[in-house]
Amino acid sequence: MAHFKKFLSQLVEPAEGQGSSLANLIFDIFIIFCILLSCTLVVIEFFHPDSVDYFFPVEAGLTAIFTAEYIARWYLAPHRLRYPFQWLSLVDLFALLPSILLIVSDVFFVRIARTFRVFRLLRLLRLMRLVRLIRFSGLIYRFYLYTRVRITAFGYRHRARPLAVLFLFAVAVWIFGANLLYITESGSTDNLSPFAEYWESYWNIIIVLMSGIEDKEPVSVLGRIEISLMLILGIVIVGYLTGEIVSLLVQKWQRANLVALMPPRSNLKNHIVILGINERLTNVVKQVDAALEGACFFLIVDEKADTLMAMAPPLRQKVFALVGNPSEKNVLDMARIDDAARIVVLSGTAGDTETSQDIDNRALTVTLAACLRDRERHIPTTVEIVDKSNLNYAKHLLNVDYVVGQQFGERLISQCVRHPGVSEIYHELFTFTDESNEIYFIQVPKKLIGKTVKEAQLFFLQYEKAPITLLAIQVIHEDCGSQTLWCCQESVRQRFLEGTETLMVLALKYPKLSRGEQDLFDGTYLARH
Amino acid sequence: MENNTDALSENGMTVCEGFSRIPARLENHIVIININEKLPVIVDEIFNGWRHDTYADIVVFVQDQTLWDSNPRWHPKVKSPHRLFVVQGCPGNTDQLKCTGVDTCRTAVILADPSQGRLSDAKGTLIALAIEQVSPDVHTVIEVVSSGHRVHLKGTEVNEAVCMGELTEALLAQNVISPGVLKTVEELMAIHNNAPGFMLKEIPEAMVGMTYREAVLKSIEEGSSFVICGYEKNAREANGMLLIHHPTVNPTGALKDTVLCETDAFVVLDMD
Repeated sequence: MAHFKKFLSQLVEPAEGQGSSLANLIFDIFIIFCILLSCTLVVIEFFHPDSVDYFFPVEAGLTAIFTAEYIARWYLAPHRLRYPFQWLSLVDLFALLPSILLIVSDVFFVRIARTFRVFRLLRLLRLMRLVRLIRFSGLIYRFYLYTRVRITAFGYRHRARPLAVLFLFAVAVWIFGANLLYITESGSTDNLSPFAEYWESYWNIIIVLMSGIEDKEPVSVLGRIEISLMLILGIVIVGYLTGEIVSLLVQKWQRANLVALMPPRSNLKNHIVILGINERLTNVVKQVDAALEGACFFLIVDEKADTLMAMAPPLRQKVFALVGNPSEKNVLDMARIDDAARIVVLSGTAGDTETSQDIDNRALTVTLAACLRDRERHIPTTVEIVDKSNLNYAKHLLNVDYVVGQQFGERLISQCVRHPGVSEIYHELFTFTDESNEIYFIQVPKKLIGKTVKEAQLFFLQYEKAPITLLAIQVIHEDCGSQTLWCCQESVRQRFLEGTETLMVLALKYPKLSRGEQDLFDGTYLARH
Repeated sequence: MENNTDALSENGMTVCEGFSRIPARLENHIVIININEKLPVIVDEIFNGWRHDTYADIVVFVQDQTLWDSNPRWHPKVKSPHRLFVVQGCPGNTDQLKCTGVDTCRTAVILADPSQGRLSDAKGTLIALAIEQVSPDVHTVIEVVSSGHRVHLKGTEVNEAVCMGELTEALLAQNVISPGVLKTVEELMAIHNNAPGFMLKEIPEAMVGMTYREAVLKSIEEGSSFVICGYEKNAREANGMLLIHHPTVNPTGALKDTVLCETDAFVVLDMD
């Protein structure tokens, strides 16, 4: 029974991205569909009263579904006595009652009840409940964002805007020309002209505009002047259309293997901005994409970004390039850097005359431009530095993490000498694949708050849904920042876990047992799950 | 100990200024071939982390004398009682390699040679092959510049390849996913007293025959001084050294019931 209640609870609660199952999402979409269908039926029945009997079984089915949903919510409510009087429950009830009355009226011939059918529109209020959830629902918002960006990118790549303008212009000319010729010819030619009949005029003018066939000649002089202008406009329209199509094909051919340029109106949000390009770019993008399971878009900003080769599908559709100097404000504005979820600064590839200092100076200039902006929220930034001596300067920029390959390389080689084979473990931990483990930070799950680290270790050992090994606890101190307490220390094992602490665990995927208040990307929709 | 002065000069090797000659018989030492900016830190970390009964001996094999002379910042500092020998020669020459005691050494590290540019991996791999010819059992670690060249090492007996580019890519991606993870990784990789790190540990006698799950449970309940993170089957090499090949880290359901035997080893997180 407890399992059934848990399952029902998970199903009925609104999908909120992380922690929500596919069934949960499908259930929400199904209810939205039912509500919309129900409201559509109200409109149809209003305009076509004869269809009432025809739609009766559908209406009865929908009412049964809503009733079952209402009862389920009531059953799951923590305070069952208070539940019917809550605002959303009242909305549910008022949306449901008219349908029930309608069915009752049909069964018991209480015709008067039919006047209440308009109450079914109240059902729309339930939509507000779901619309509100879109703000918090990672999956639904992600779908919205993905669709919007994909449509914009498609339109930009296929020049949809100029083609749409051309189409509208052609339609306007067509309608205007057909009417103009009809007015001119019908009044003066005793219906001998091919343009004297109204609808015939539409057909003939489109032939003139598109093919220039002259067998549909106007009879009057004014009509011939008008048709001559139409012919010229037709040539312009067809010529422009042909030019656009050729240009589109040439552009498509030229950029066939190159990364897609960022559409100007794509309004990317919560994307990952990569400033600068070097040989590590592709692998960084691949790794992050694998970790996030394709959940976000990447924008590469560099003066040579348009020359980048396209990545293999499905990454191909998620990576965009923006040409420009990443240290310039207007370029960063175009990249919508303030709306980004993460910023990565790659050190540029060394030219023949560039030293490591030059490369690092450029990376640090870009970092300053990206970070010292007047923005409300902090965007986690990772910067690649070549020369570790530059860290002495770079560390003064707070909230930026620096990767110095040399520094980690030295340590890893030393570790390999000390503990033969250890590079295999680090290689596994640092590579995002479905089969490999990675290090994740999760909030202490509710059920472990107040337990000792030893009890937490036993809990994870017995946790069968996913393999998890507890490595350390991160404690935030107000005065000295965060501190890592490793579980191999005797003193740590007897420590009681607090809700403010973070657990560092080994896991194949981001563990779902955290409290759900924070996900990989701090509660936004770029979470992996 | 006698100096192998004759062997060095006979094979056309010289000893770099300020360093003593290699004794005739060195054992359990480290041979580092090539020099680059990482050398001083690596030597320093090896000296700092040395836990064996005797002092550490490191032989640095310099290929390009000019490179050595023109980069004094790369010169490692000797920490008493440890010893450092720096010789110049061609590591592709097996006789010269033997002079450095590569056949009796504990580990051979092949660093990327900056004078060879971005294609230094080719010569590094060839040096690894030369070491294999002299001593097939030596534990070899090679620094690879390009991750694309890692595949070439599959045909060799090189034990470990550390690719700077690959490491940087991985760390960049890790930090994008979990901001701040770099500090933890830095701590994990540090070599100093009381620093945490991953390593192999022999399976305690009492745990031989148990399943992995039972062993971890016992370890937690008894309050072991390490965290078991996985295991390596048949980890013991012919020379008695524990070596990781294909570790099973954080095993899933069925793998937790693997029975452990004495030739296996635990992958643990422990304090140095």
